[in-house]
Amino acid sequence: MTELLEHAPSLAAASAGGPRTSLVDLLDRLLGVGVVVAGDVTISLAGVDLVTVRLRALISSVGTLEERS
Amino acid sequence: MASYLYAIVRDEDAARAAIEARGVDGAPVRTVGAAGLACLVSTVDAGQFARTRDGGDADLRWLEAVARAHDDVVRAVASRTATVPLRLGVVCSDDDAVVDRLHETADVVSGLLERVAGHEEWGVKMFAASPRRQPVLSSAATSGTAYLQQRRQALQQDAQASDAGVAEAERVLTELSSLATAARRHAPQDPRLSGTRAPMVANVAFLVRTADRDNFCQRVRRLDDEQPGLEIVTTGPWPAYSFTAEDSP
Repeated sequence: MTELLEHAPSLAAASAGGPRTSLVDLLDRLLGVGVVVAGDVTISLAGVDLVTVRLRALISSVGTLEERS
Repeated sequence: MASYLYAIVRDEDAARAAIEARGVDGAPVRTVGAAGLACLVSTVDAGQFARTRDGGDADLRWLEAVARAHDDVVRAVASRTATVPLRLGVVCSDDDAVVDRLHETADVVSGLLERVAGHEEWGVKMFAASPRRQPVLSSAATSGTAYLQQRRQALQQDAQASDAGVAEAERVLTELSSLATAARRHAPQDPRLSGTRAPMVANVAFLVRTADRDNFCQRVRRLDDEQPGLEIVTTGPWPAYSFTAEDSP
């Protein structure tokens, strides 16, 4: 569980003291909005799927650990 | 080699938009002009965007690097002139294809440029202020059953706080909307991703006139003080990322 939850800070990290923004806030904006200009190559994350998949994996793993304990 | 697209500005602003920031993979950024518009692009290996990614650690690091580079370029341009940022990962096979895209979308993009000119984006995230409660993983949980009971209790408290918070959040959103040109809702972030314990009840982007920035931020702080059931966090200023799709309000 510890190993899994360690991903959360890296995703949420707004690096201390710097102007850097949280990756989650950034991806809300860069992936969560519509397309005004389409490309020839489609990014294979299929929108927010990469993040969603990762999040689902995280939640289901934590859920499984809770049931086991 | 293909062209990665970051943002579009008016052609007459292209010189002002010239930036030193490097793009994806450290490549220099240039402009491609057509239809009275100029698109900021850099050369990339298209293969990295065409490859299927399964969402593992390496993919997440790659995604972050691309997102940061994209954001660095868009911020640098948006700080100088009216800018329509593009979505992450728009790649055209070459600059001729970029010219085609500019011709195809010129009317829509020109309208968007007009809308975002003189504006910036502010993110407002609202959390239901959690009632005081035992930590989720209390050392008192000596058995699995006790742990599960505590966990259930904590989830119930979260749900109650969340219900109360949603009503307060709607009032705050109405008030803030009166100070903004437009608002757009994003999905609330999961607490594990946002790095907080409290449930997020609203995640909204506001398009605010740059001249109204102080007024908007002061109002947010006042609302945060007035609403004990809510914790309000702002992020920004952002380039107008959330207001450059045709479907936004």
